[in-house]
Amino acid sequence: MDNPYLPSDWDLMEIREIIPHHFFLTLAPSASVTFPAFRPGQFFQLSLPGVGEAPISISSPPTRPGTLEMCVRRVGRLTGAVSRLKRGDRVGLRGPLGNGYPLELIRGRDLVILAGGLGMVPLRSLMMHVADTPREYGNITVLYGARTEGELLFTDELFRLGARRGIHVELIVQENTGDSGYRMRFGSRVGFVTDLIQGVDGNPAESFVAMCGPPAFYRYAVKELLTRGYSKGLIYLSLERRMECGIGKCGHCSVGYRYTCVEGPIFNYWDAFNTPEMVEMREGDPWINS
Amino acid sequence: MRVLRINGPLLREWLEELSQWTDLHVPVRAGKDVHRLEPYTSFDRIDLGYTRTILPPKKFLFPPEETLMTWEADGTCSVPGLPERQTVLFGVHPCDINGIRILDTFFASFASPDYYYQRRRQGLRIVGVSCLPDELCFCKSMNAENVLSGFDLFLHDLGDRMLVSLGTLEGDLLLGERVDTLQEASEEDLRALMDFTARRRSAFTLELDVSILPQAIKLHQSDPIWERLGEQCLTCGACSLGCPTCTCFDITDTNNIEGGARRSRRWDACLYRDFARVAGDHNFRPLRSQRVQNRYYHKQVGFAEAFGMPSCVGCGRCIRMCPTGIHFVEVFKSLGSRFLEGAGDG
Repeated sequence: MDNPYLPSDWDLMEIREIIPHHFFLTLAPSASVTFPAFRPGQFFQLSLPGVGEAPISISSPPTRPGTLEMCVRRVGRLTGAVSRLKRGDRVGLRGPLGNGYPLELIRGRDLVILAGGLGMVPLRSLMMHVADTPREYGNITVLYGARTEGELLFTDELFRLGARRGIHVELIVQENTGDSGYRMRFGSRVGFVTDLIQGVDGNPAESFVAMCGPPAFYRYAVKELLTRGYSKGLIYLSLERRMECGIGKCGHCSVGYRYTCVEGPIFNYWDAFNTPEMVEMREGDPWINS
Repeated sequence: MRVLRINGPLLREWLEELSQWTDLHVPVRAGKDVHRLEPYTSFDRIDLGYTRTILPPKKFLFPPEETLMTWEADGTCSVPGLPERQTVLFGVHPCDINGIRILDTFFASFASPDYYYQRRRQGLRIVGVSCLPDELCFCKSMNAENVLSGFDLFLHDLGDRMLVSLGTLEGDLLLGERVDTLQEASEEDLRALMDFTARRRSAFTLELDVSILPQAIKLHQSDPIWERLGEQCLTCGACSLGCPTCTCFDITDTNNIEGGARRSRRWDACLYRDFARVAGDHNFRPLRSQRVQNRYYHKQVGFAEAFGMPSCVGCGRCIRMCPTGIHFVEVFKSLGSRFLEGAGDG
């Protein structure tokens, strides 16, 4: 009988603070562990004995096996402890968990990536996967927004990707605090990611949209996408929930009758909006104005 | 199903013997209206006339707290073992046996069955016993009043006689060689058993029509009743902890002074404020009314949609335990009548 609660041993090859409070990890399986097959959009439970576990998205693509890349924001107990890890330290991983993006549905289509804030982390896996196998997919458009330019992740990488044929990258910030590098590279775009949807090339009805960001962002983005003719069946989003077991048992991530950790975290927009609580906003909810 | 005759002296002799080679737990009166399943010490302590134990038998399969793994200071990880002896629960009521069947379905679900539940379940034997309802029992309404399987043996205490149904090979083995010496139940015994079943069926005083319940809950997401319940509920979680089918847990790590660590899980409840809180202090159910509504929704609608049955067996513990007197059946009835009003039927 398999024990799905037991983490496997991985070695931390590299840890870098890429922007303040955001740590980029490169992990390699220890000698006893086989590098697992995974899909973009899946996650692992990152485990530190004596500290605990937290669900962390995979940020690297399946097309580059051997090491896993993750990016954590130092925000809780586990991520605090992760931020203090050093190269060569051992960490536990359980997974891959969750469903991941439906690559068979994306194949042959243009891909529109909509990312808000830390939402770029899991979408980076999908973006790089598609960019690594250009023959199987159409054009890629990446629309990525953060509150300020200092909070934009992977800007160098996005800049390089955006220079490639068939890949278009647009960044936007809610307030321009005047960083010159940002202005030089991407122009001084100020506003919301949703403002960029109208400028996307291609046939909206046949394009696949992958979104990751805060709940309020989904509401505005979906409204805009549907107005612009994107197909209901091709809009997918990623949900964040508290997860402990990652295998549909502990109950923390249940939304309606779905376990986000098993049946998600990637959901079709319709399922997400028509399951109670999934993307609901109520008066007084803290995320409405954030 | 094979049904055999048994009597008091034979039962005493059998349990006495069983306690020698299994971890036998039996219903014992622990105070006024308080019963527990406790390790067998003597036959005379057994109270077969009990209505419900404080905690359901899930505690034997999914303990309130359980160590998942430990680490030595050098990082060596190990999973604690289990006692080799079988655990036998004697005197489990049909609602609780149905509760265990729901747990079996749930913990085996998805691609990863729950290792810790499964291994305890493999070593657990269940001897059911018949019961009569009190004013809080609504297992009949939840279709959990009888069991045809899910037990290894089932003892029918009909007052003037005792019969035992054989449910599994393991149950047969629990009886040992005795099984071949017990008389088969007569036609008259079986009639008496059916009479008892009918008598028991008419003894229920608490009933509700569950057929419209999921729809009523689904359609009344913004009903004022949730606000009212949110004000009344203390979110103490007693209803969940005492529920035979509530399975939520929290995983926590602790460190010891030698440099090792332990990861354990313990019962959690969706009514607790932090249940859906994530790092960064975002809470997906910040309001009590949301958490109360979620509990009803999950048990009666969500679980049923996912697993084909509601995660409620009508044992009445949640009603019994609620310190502010929230009565599940009354809540259901209230929602149901609103539903009918809304549909224009009354």
